[in-house]
Amino acid sequence: MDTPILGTLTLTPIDEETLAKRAQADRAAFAAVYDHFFRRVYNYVRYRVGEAEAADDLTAQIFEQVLRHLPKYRPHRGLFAAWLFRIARTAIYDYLRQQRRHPRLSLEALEDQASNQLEPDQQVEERLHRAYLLNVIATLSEREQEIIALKFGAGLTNRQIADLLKLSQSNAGVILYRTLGKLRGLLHAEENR
Amino acid sequence: MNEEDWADYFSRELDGLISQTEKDSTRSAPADFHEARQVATTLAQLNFSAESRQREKLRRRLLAQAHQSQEAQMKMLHWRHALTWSIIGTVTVLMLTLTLFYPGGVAAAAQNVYDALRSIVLGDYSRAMQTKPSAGNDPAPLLPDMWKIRTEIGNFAGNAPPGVEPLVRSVTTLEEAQALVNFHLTTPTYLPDGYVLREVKLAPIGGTHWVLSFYGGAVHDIIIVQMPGGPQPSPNPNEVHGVYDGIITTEPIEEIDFDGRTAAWIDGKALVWSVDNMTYEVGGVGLTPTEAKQIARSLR
Repeated sequence: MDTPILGTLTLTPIDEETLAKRAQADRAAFAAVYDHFFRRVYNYVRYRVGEAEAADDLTAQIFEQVLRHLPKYRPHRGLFAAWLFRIARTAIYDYLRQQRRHPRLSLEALEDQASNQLEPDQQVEERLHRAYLLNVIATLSEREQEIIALKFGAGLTNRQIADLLKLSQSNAGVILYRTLGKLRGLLHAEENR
Repeated sequence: MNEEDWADYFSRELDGLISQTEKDSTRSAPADFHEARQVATTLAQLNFSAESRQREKLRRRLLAQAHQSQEAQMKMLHWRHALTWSIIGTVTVLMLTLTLFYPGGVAAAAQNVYDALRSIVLGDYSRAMQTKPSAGNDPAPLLPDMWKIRTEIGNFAGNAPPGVEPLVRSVTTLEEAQALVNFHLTTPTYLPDGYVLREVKLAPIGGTHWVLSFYGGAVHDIIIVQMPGGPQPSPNPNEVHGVYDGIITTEPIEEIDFDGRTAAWIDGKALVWSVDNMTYEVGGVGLTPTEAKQIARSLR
């Protein structure tokens, strides 16, 4: 018998806190946590580091840390998503610090990479479009990139972002609003080049 | 409205926009607002995750790691455990019915977790189990939010209900303890010479408490434990909490008769039995079954 279920058996609609508690009680249930958060973690990392290969490595590192530290998560101290993305944020920060600068593949390199995938034209175009957006986002300030990644990659609420970045909620909203406006300007400029 | 107002309005709209449930109802908004909204729409539709080349491989690796970690958790020795359940909301009526009317199902499910060499049924919500010895004598920590109490007759562990800190309270009189629990605390009218109450520990579990009374003697304690099991009262009418207790030991357990009831003699130092969903334990180092029964009969 290798699937213990000792602990809390909570029969509630699935939410993130329940997923976390189940995984704490039964590590085999970590699969559900992984499946639920993979997309958000990977997208968040991609926004921050750009390259797919680095994003894969960092995503693996983040989930390994989440699994290792899962017993330390205390629901009464905050939401699981905020706890998880705090780990993700620290891992990315360490990675970027090691890089000393934030190297991203050039758009040309990304185009080469995309064209080597032997994908249908439409998929190649979509991949190029995503790479193009990432490159433009990479020209924003650190804080602006972070807020975009937390909002659109990690899918956090403004309140959660504010907590992570130690801002007021309204301040986070204003920064996000301005950043999107600035990004729009940069995209306009790129399109007119 | 100024920029801050529009940012605030924008933030309120954004989550709906991301989930693609929000319609554009802001025709009077400034151009900045529409531009921000347009970019947000683009970003909300971006998904890079299909480009990951490690997703499945990483999933397998993590599950293997999780499995190893789980095995380490299972190295335990003579623990009294609680499996608690919470049933919340109307969608779980079937489970609620099954739990209330077929309590043995819950107990059986919990029992199946262990590869038991011997199992003694003490009540609908109570079992004593002898399991195969595992490496190491010190039990690995179980759940992070579990309370744990180590005693001379074995270790006790359980988890507090949702929203309650897993803190064990300690008081020095039964009167203080009685004021904190929703069931009658029993007092022994007989104890061997020299034993007096020195401490009562109360541990939160499934909407109630387990209560451990320590009677100190010259060398060792006599410990009397009350462990309520089964469905427990809940402050929320849409929730049902309950407790299943299981005694798990690698030491021999023996089924014995206690005045016509099925009881278990655990680890050569504790008598355990169950009456009306309340499991009792009387134990101490050097205590004989005869002495334990004498104390047990004197509980009022």
